[in-house]
Amino acid sequence: MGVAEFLEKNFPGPVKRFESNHPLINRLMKKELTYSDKIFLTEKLGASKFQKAVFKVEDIKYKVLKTVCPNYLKYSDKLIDWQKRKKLKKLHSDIERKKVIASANYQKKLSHKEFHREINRNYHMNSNRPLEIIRYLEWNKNVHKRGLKSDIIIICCLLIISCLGIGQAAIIIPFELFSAFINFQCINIQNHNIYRFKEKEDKLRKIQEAQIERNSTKYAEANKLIADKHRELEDVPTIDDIISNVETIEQLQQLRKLIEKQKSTNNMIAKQKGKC
Amino acid sequence: MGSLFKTTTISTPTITSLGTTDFTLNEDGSINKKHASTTIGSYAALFTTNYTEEARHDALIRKYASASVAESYVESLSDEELEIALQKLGLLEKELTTKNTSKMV
Repeated sequence: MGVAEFLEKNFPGPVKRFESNHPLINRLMKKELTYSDKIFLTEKLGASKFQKAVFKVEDIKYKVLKTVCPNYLKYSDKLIDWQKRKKLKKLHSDIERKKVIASANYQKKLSHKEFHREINRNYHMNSNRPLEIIRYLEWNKNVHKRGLKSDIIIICCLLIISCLGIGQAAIIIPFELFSAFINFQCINIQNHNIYRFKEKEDKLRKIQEAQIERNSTKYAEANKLIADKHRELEDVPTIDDIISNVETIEQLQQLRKLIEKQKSTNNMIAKQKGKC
Repeated sequence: MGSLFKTTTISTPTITSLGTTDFTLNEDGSINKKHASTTIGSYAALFTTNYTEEARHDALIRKYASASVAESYVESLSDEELEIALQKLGLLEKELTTKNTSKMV
């Protein structure tokens, strides 16, 4: 129930009710906000500014990770393999097993990409699959929502404890307030980006479908070569595994074009990160 | 969507086969050989068409799945791995073209 409806129901008659000439506020009262309105509101709450801070933290995170733990990918792959083996023990159907193996391989490739490109899957759109990011944004938002709920509960508990006379509890409150602020801003950024992508969802879907059609036709031989190797090994193959199975000139040329295309995409990503 | 496609193609030959059974039997219940051979031919053609459509649909799904796997694989490679791959492909190309040239000769 909106504010206007509440007033209508509980205060009928000649009572001066709040009415605004501002179209955005009217839409807000009637819960008829468009995606543009929602994007505007999230901007007002500081989404763009906080996004810049998030990108800076992302840069620092990967630089520290590469310095402190250069073998991070080896441990990440081992963890994914352990999770895969745990799931496979419970499954007996061939189709379910293939799904788990494919999912594990995809996770490995994603974490390799994130580490090499220094980009978090939650903050950067994949130009080949632009709609994929919406899923990651929703997941990230839920993580921060849970964080914000627990921060609020902890703050309430600390306030009660400090009122009961344990003054030391009050020292922790500013840290929890800061954590709640960060979680709130992260939720705001996720909402901002979700609305931005959903506003253009139809266009992005057409782009994604066109990309899939183009890439699957243009690099058909190279794609088949790589996919067959994945199926054979049930793991992510090395580049030597792929190249040793090249048999025709067409496969070779398509594979080379695919790699060159990826190189130019990587250069573009590096330039964009430099600008941020 | 795949299951819908499959159920449609299975039901179509079933309905067709029930209709053609009527057509191939004479009034006394004996088999009309002329009609039987025609219906077997048309049934086979229908079955082939449906099977070809299904095979084409499966091939399309496999094509898109392979593209997705290959894309994510190439995206996961580091700059060094991409450079090494390009060098090795360059050497392999020379080998393959030399082999093909010597075969032609």
